[in-house]
Amino acid sequence: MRSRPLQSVLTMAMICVICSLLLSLVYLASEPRAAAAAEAEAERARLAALPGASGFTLVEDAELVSGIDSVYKAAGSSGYVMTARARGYKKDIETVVGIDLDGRITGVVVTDVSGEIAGLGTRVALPAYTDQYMGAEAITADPGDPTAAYIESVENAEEASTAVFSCVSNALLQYRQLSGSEELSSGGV
Amino acid sequence: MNRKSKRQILREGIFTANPLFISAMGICPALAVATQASNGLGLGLAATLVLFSMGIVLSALKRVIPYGVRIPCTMVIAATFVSIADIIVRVYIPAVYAGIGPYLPLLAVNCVILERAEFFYTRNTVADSAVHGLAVGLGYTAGLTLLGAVRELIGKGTLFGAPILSGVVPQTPLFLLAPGGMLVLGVIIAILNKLTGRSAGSPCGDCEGCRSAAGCTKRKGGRS
Repeated sequence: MRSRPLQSVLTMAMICVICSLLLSLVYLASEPRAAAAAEAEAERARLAALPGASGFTLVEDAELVSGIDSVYKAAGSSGYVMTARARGYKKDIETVVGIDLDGRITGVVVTDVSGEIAGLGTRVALPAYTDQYMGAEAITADPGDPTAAYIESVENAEEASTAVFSCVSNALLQYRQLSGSEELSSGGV
Repeated sequence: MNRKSKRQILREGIFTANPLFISAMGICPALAVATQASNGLGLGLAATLVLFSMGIVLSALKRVIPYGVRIPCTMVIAATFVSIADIIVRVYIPAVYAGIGPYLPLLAVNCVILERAEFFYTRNTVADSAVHGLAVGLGYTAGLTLLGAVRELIGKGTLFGAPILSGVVPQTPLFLLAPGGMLVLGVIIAILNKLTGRSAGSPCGDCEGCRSAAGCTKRKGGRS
């Protein structure tokens, strides 16, 4: 059976419109739950980065260092948690970094490695790599530098390793900026 | 064309024409995703939702969609239902979503779904298509879950995450990789063929409505 071109075009267009509307409805209906699930996941990551904190408050007036998305202060002032991102292999890698009030890294949680090749770049999210940062006050990629903790890249995943390294460096920089401004403000008072 | 009863359609979809073990379709996601039972179950249920919904919609629209744009329309409808399944799994079962990864969106071009759309939904009633979609989906789910369970047991010593053989039998991670999956799939098919007495020349059980039935050497009563 041969159909007229106009009929075919109209049918196709109508199906596309109906499918788009249906998808929009499903998306709108699931959006609140998706947002809540994303927030719960982010809270879990913050708790993993700064264990022992009972809650976090967004520091809204913080002057953000380049590469830092957000800064959260732990309830009871036990430290800060920063969400940082840096370019990986195909897209940005997102990392959550916890730093206590002594300036030591308490945890690094890589929350988005979706742009990395499975089994290669994705290995930067494993504890074998992230545990290297634990307790460090300063980090370096130079094994000959005695002033900072040496971080060894994941083999065959240089771009992903560099991205996480940048995220943690920026988080440390952000912490110094925050603690400096706090000292200034407390000194002023 | 003789109409099949609903029970016959159900039996064919789940057992005698199981998409994974009899028709050998949808093997790529099976090897990649079904590394543990929960992943296989999750992907299978998502495929069931898509097959069932597409069965209803495509058979209802079979006289509305002109022949010339049937395939593009089928693709758009398949992509819509797969996107809906993707949203549902991502929002409500994120642990399963993490295991399935990119293979859920790829259901839109899964040969099980497209083959059913082309050969069954466009030629049968809405009720028959709905039952058929459900049956094929459940058959695919059962296949993926069984494959995932066996691989998880041998490869990790767990079943649905619970330690069953951990510390009892040495774990063999090869079975979590695609070659191990192919080995397990082959052994399951061999066992099923032995149990059902099915051989390479046996009909696949889905001759009616099959476009290749006329020239098929495995057809019931066909050339041998």
